[in-house]
Amino acid sequence: MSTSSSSSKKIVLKSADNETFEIDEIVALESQAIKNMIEDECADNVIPLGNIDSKTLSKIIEYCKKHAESPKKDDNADIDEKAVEDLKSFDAEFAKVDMPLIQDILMAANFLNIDNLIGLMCRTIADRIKGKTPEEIRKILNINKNDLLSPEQEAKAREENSWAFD
Amino acid sequence: MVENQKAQQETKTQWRERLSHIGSYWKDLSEWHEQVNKKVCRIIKKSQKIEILLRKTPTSKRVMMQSIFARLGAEADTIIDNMIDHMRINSGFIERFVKCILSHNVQQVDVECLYRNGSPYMIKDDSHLLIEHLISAPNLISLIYEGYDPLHLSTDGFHSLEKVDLYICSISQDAAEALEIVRLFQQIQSVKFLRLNLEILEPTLYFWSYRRSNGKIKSGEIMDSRHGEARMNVGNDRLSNLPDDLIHKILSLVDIKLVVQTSALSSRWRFIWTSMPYLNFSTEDFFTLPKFSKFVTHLLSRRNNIDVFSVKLRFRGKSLKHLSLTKEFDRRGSCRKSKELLTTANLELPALTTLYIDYVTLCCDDSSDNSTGLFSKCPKLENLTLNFKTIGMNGLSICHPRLTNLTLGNRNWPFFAVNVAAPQLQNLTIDDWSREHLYSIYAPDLVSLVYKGSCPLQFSTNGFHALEKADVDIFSSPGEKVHHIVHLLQQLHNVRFLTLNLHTVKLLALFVELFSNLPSPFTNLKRLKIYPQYPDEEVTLCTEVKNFLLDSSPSATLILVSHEEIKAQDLMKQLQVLLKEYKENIETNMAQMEQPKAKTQWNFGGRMAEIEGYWEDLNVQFEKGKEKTQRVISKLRKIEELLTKVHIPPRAKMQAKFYSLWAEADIIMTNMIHCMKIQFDKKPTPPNVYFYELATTSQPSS
Repeated sequence: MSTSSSSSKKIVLKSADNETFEIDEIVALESQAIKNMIEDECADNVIPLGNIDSKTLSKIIEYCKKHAESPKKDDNADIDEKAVEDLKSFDAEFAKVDMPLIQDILMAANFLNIDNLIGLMCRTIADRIKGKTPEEIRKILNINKNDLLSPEQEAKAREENSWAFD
Repeated sequence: MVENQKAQQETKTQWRERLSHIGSYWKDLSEWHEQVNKKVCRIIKKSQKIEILLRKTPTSKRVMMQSIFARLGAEADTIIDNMIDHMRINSGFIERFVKCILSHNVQQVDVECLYRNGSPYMIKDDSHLLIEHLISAPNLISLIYEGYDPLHLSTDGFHSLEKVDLYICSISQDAAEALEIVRLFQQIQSVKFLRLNLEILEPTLYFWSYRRSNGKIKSGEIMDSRHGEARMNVGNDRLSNLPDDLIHKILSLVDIKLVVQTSALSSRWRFIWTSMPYLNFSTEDFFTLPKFSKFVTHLLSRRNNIDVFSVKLRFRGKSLKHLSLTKEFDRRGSCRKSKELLTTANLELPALTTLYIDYVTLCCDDSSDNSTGLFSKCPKLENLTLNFKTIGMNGLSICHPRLTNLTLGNRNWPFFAVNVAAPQLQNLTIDDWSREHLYSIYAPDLVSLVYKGSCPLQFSTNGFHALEKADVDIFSSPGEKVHHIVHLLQQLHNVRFLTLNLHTVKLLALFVELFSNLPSPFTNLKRLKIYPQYPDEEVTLCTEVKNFLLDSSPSATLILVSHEEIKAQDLMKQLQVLLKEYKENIETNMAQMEQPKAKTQWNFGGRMAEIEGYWEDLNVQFEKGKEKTQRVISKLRKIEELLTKVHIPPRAKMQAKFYSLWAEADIIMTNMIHCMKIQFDKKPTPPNVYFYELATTSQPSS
């Protein structure tokens, strides 16, 4: 139902795999980094995002669209509870993706400086590792196998911090 | 007799000299400490980073790189070792360090002077020192530099320079700096392989007026090169490449036990928790309170010295008996700005007996019922110390049937009325230098009262039948308040030991007509002590006041104390407490030190961890020792100075006490130095064989 007027300014983003996305300026403004570029008049043509692939980027645009459309908290006093609830359930639904994508979105959101999205992704990751053992967390986060501690090192870590492992 | 005095004088001088020797020991050590600590940390961090990266390198290249690394590792090991030895002799470190590098006929230099936590200037200085020495390394082949400022090389160039890798993120970005960078480029003109980060070029664009529009370089292009590089190696583990602050953000949302447990995840996660700026403690994560308390102590003592951004504490305190909430000041004594420790004024702790609140802001969530009784849900409270600011309170009411000790310290309370109703209250201390407050206090069994403030207290009871001691320190401008002072003194009529400050007495002397017709209120007085606030105030007592205070107690003694005496006595008390604490510390420390550390199987990570641990321990020991010694020495000196000004009769006695304190202090300070030496000697012994073998066997035949 996005009924943005055709006269509004468009911004073009280009992903790492050279796919272009044309979006309304208002959507792009959700990103503080892009907002700064627009203010500095650096965003006349295509904005290349060399470290964000198209899959991640389209997810992020989906998020920004939804959040740009919803009324902001301080817009007026009588924003209905329903809109807030609606946004909440959108966020919950949005976060139901696999861990690699969540991590990509978090990194991209960090790069583009989208505060709400960073918060959402951090919460999602936190929720998934809550109450889990280190072994389980390693699996959930796909911790790089090359980076694992040797058995002795891990034993040392556990011994050093044994007060936290019981 | 004269001989004897002379000998005494000599002894004193010797002891004084000894004091300054001890002081300078720690001062010298401090200079060394700053310089070396950074270097060692840098070396260790680098090595660890390299080791991790090497494991990700494809096998074909890894072998060669590992041999280079092994050689470097051996060198680093020797250097660190040298440092430790050298530091024990404790003199100019940097020269030695540079010589160490150059004596190996250096062909590669790697400087990282991005500052963290420290002042940029300090690091700037020592990078200068390093770089200037490079002039004597004409054979330089490779240069890696990472820092906030452009390098300043005073040489004309390096004839055999092969590889330069620069990562400069400058702060100022002005023309002068651009010029600096251009000059640097000219100096390294013969280089064959050059790697730059994009930000370097940004200031130079000003200089070359290359800039496109008036904006910044498009941020899509200023992609952080290190991120891109890291991404290629990792497959699905993107999270480990996140900057620490994002990982901290995630960890702030899980329970704190899990946060520490992440140290076992991988080497990237090994120490992340130690710099967590958000600490959320909740007793819900622990079975018992002792476990909780043990955990908190461990965590706080193992944290890095990173500033805490926020602390949240939640507990179900069914059995909590003692609670102390304090905001500490940093070392310079200034309060960290804008950081507040907040607590609710409606704590619900049924078993609490002792509550200590200092420099805390009390918040009332619900302003309607806050004056009915602060902490009314802590019925067993016996000892209460409140030194607080407040938000949203419109009155203070303390009403506890069991309260025996109460200390109130006012920090600009916005309300007027203070009500205390405590039938069992014995000791009351009020420290209130701010605006006028009306205290109505019901405490019939009061034994001791200490009051310091600008306007006199008003009690709602009439007299205290058991009052033993009262210390009244009123500092106000003369005026109508004086009759309040008279009234207060009348209420204290049972007191046996009364202490007044000179100002109070002087105020009374200005308005003798207020009490000249009144009988002297004190019938049980044993001792009256009068002391001045400021140095060089002469303590006198006019007849009218003297009569008013002492007429009804002929047996009372009057003591006029000099300012220095009070001060010296106060300091000696403080020193005694300090020394006792330090002595206990040292004893436990020594006991810990004597436990031999288990020898671990040698491997690279282990060795580095060992060295790192050594430095960490050394740091802790050093920081503590330095601070403590400084405190003791400054106290000793102050007391000594004060004592020379004390009147003869009390002086002799005080001096005797002082010298015995000094002797004790000396033993303790010597022990601290001794501890430091032990700590030095715990230097991990290097199992050199492995490194050197690796280095020699894998060296190319050339």
